[in-house]
Amino acid sequence: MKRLSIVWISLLFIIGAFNAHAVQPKPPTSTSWYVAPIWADTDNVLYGWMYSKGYAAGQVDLNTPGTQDSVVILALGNPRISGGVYGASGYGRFLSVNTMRLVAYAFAAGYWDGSGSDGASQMRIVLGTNNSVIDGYTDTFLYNHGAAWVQMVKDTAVTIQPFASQVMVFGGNDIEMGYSFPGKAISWVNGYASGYVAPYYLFNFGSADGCPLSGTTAVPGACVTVETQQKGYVWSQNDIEYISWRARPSYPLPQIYGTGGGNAKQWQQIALYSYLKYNQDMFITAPLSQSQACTQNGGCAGTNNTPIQAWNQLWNELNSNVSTFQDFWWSTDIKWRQP
Amino acid sequence: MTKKVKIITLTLGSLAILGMGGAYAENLYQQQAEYKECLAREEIFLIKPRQSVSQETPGSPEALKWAKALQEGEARAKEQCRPKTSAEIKKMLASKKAVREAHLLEVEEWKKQGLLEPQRANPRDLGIDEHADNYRKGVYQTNAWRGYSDEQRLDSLMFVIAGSASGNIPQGQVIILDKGYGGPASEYPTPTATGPVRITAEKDGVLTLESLAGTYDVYESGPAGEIPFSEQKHEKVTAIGGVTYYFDLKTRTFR
Repeated sequence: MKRLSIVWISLLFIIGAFNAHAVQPKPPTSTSWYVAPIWADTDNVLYGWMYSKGYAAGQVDLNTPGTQDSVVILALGNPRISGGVYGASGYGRFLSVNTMRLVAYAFAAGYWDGSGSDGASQMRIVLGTNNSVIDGYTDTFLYNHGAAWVQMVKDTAVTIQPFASQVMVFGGNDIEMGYSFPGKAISWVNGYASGYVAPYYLFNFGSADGCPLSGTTAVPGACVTVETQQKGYVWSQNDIEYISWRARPSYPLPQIYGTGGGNAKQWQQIALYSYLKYNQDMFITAPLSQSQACTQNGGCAGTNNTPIQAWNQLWNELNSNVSTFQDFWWSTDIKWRQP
Repeated sequence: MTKKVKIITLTLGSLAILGMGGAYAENLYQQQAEYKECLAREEIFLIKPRQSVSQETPGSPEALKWAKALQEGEARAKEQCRPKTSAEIKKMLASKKAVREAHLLEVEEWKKQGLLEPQRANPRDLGIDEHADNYRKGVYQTNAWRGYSDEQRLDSLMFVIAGSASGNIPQGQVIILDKGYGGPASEYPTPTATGPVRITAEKDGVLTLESLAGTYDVYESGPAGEIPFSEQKHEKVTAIGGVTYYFDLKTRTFR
């Protein structure tokens, strides 16, 4: 009898230990979008397209058992101004803040329609810009652009109010080390923060290129890459931690592209730095992968993690250390808008 | 009514009541489970306010802001997760139907007004772009040009990125993206490796490019954000720059 008890207790212990290390199951992966122009595009063609993509996302949730919770990044290009109106490059076709508001409205309306009788599933839309080629702008311009961006997010929330029981909108920025000086990106983030009120969070869906893979302490490690060297950019873990978490509106939604697992290690180390330096429990919301975009443009060897690879890499890294363990909210994979 | 009938009626009635009661209890249980699940989902937006409230100095403006955010977030979550009445569900379904109908009407109106017809790009989006989004990691980009290779054809709109070849900065090149950033890319190296090139002009379908002098790092292993910089072998290479190239957009060749 005693022997049987020992066997049972051992078995329960093994099962418990196994469960403690089981990777959190990945929820369905949403498709995020680079909102690029197609030839002979018009605003109305874009709105119609956005509605159809929102509708498709709603249909997925309707036809998936249970209540879903998804995030969709609409990457709209780098900061711009045209005729005194703030906006984004649209990757070749200027999008004003008003057009972007209507883009988000179209997606939200499509989702509302497509999710049909499913009135519980949630769609979180992130309206995102990026920090590429912003060195030529003054810090004041970038600060003001960030402030205009958060205002656009707030205006959009009012516009999509009829769908508020299922759709929320946030800001976003794809901040990458090879794109600009850190101070420029920080100016933009501070501008966003200046007009921020909860819950209009800012999701950094950028990278941690060249940051340390291990050995993090409370002294920030340098993030050095070919591009940062060539352009004289000096990024550190502290900059990335600030723009992704310590800035009031920020949450990280990092790019976990590298098939070698390096990106996951870099972000775990940034979370660890946040803990060691600032005693923060930095919360990473979701891994972003780019496998669909890679398929579209002929592949990107070494940076084409599938969503499940990105999920497992990041989860395993974060949960390898008691100071950074956590689960995620979402999973998303980005794709280009194409004809 | 016989005693037998009374007993059967009473039994059936009791069973019906029990059944309804059971169904009601099950429904209540289901609603509570959904409510808890929903609150857990909404908790995601309360993580930051909760953590911040506990970390800020009590009574400071920041602490008050976060406390307000937390309070509002909790109220929103409760409202969001509250079981909806049948009237509310009916209203939601009617709203969804109305949104669809409005969209279909709107699209018809757009068609009537010709707003879905192919249009020529806005002049503000054409020409040389000094702020074009970075094309890809590893591509040394200077500037870009967007325009028509054939003014008569709207589908000849192309995007040209100027700069250098990946991992070999002294080798200038242009990249043509016929379907924008997301489509396949065609790369055209300059005839001589005199440095990265930038677009200075475009006339009659011919781009003028100037190469830039400088000393550049060339990496053997190619750029990769995952590989620690210290582990990447590289050497410094000097480019003479100052050479003018002409690229014909129709034939896609350097003259």
